[in-house]
Amino acid sequence: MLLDVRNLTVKLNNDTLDVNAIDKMSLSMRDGSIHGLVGETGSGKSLFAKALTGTLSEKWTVQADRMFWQGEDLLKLSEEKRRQIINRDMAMIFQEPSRSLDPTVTIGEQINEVIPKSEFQGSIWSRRQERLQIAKNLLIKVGIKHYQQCYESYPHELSEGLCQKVMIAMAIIRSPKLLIADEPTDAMESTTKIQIMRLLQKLNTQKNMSVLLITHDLESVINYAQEMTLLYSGQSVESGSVRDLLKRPYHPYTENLFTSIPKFNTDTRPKSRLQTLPGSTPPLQHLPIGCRLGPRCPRAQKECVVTPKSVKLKGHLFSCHHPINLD
Amino acid sequence: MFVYLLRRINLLFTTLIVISVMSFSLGHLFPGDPVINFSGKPSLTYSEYQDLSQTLALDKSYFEQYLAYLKRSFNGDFGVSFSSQKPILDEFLRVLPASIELSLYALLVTLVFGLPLGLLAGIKNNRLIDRIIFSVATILNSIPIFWVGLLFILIFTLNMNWLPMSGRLTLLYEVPSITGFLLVDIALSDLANKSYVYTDALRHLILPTATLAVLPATLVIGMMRSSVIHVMGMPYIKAAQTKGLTSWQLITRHVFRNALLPIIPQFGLLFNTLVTSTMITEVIFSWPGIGNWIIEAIYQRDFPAIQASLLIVASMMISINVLLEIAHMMVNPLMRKEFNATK
Repeated sequence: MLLDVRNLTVKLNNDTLDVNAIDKMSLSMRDGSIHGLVGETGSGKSLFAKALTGTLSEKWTVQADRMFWQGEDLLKLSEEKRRQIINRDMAMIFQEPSRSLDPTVTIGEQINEVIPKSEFQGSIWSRRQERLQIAKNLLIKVGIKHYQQCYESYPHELSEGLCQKVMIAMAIIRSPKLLIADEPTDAMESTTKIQIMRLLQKLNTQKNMSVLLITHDLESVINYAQEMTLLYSGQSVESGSVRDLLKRPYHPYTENLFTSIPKFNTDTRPKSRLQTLPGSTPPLQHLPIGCRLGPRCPRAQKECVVTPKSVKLKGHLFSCHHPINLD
Repeated sequence: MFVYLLRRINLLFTTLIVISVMSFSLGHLFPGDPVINFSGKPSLTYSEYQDLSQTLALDKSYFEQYLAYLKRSFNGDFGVSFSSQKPILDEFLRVLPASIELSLYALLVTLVFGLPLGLLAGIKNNRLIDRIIFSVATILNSIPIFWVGLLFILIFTLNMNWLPMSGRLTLLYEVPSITGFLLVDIALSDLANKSYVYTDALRHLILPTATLAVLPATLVIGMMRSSVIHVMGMPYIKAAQTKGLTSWQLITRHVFRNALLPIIPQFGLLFNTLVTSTMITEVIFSWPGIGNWIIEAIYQRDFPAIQASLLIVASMMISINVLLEIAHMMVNPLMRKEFNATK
């Protein structure tokens, strides 16, 4: 197991507010897989990534029964040691890649500063040449044809897709074991989207790099990921292999989410409504107790005011008092 | 880029022309005869008056007078001073180095203290150290400079007796004026005990420099602090944190640069306050610079001197501002982006 997080709680401490933005969420990842983390906006997906990499500000406190990274509990390590492990093994790419690159530094310099010292073989005098060579190889590897031009450009001179490729190039230089992709194709054209996703897939298969794909784009998860975890309002809903989940979801939310994807091969009547749950996701100040889906859930009953325990059944992990499709 | 340069230079020239028109009209608006005001010679015989009137073109139309005035200004001929009867340009060049020297040191102190303190306050936003730096800066910023100067004199000279009160040098030492910059002159001179002279000159420099640096330094702290706070919240800083840079690398490579670039044009404002403060500081510390000279000229109703100094000082300020803006355009890639996008 590469990553094993149990009952992670991320709490927002404020003068007026004290809420669990992520409430007892669990996630485990196999080595070398693409794992989709899916949820609506504000369900705590990005928060999870930040809690994992330790980049949350002081307003947040992170607690967990365990947060195992290759058998080592990250939360029990000292700040410094943890930073070291994270810097060595994990890399992250973000949504809005052009805003994640320093606007006043050329792409070349930004790539240069993340090249680890161990990459250099020659003497200190040939460093310049070597740097250039490494950077160019990287840019070619992520599929940038005009690498020379790209190397000399400032971020604002490149398109979003190119910027994301540069971000990926910078992420893979340390050959991390895990690449956290936080909505990597958000607000991109569909062709660029496919390019980026294919690139991630290629890195996954060729370099055995695991990818945690954080997104609200269900289709890309279905197409590229092997496993997925669903989040709703900071609680984990269901997780398991994508194929199983598609075939037989146990949680009502999962089923509802999949039916909400518009399908073009079935005969949907023109102007008919897509399937949705009534209501909207609760804001942080007004989270319901117990199962947070409760007020919107078609199967909610009295017990749902108590937070459900996660149950493992046929490879799925789900948290619901009244699961569906159990036969 | 070429269009941009053209626009800036156009702005520079337009402003310079407006200033020269104002300066020219002063010669007519000041009380007394224009011929006397322009030439600076108070007692003239009738034939001398006629001659001067012709050489200064004052018997022609206003427009021709203005052209003649411009021509004289370009040749460096601003007439003579009422009080000393020496050419104003010579007087001006005699006092200019002292002022430049003082402002330069103050600017240096401002940058050396202002930028790091602002950076520190911005990074440690809302911690104790930030509150201390920011509140001290706000307090110093709101104290008038003449009062700060007097306070310094009171504390460090009269009470403690640590530092000299006024002037550039003790009267004991006589340093020949070659460049006008005291520290350079001492190096060029053949005095026997140079180290003593240097210590003396530096001791004289401390109080005026500190007084002069107070206001710009607090301004820089404020600007830098808010700029750093803004930059620290940007996504690329968060992204850089996950790239495995140490916080020192992060700050020197990404935060400092990004915070400094957008405030470069505001340094122009800094120069403006610096020049005004220089004048006040020079009067307080009897520093023989431009400010002292101009205020002396105003006291003595030395109209040609006032007119010339208005023209020269204002032109210098505007040129510095425009140059700063062009420099900002050159070093900040984001400015180029904005410009290319809106061209």
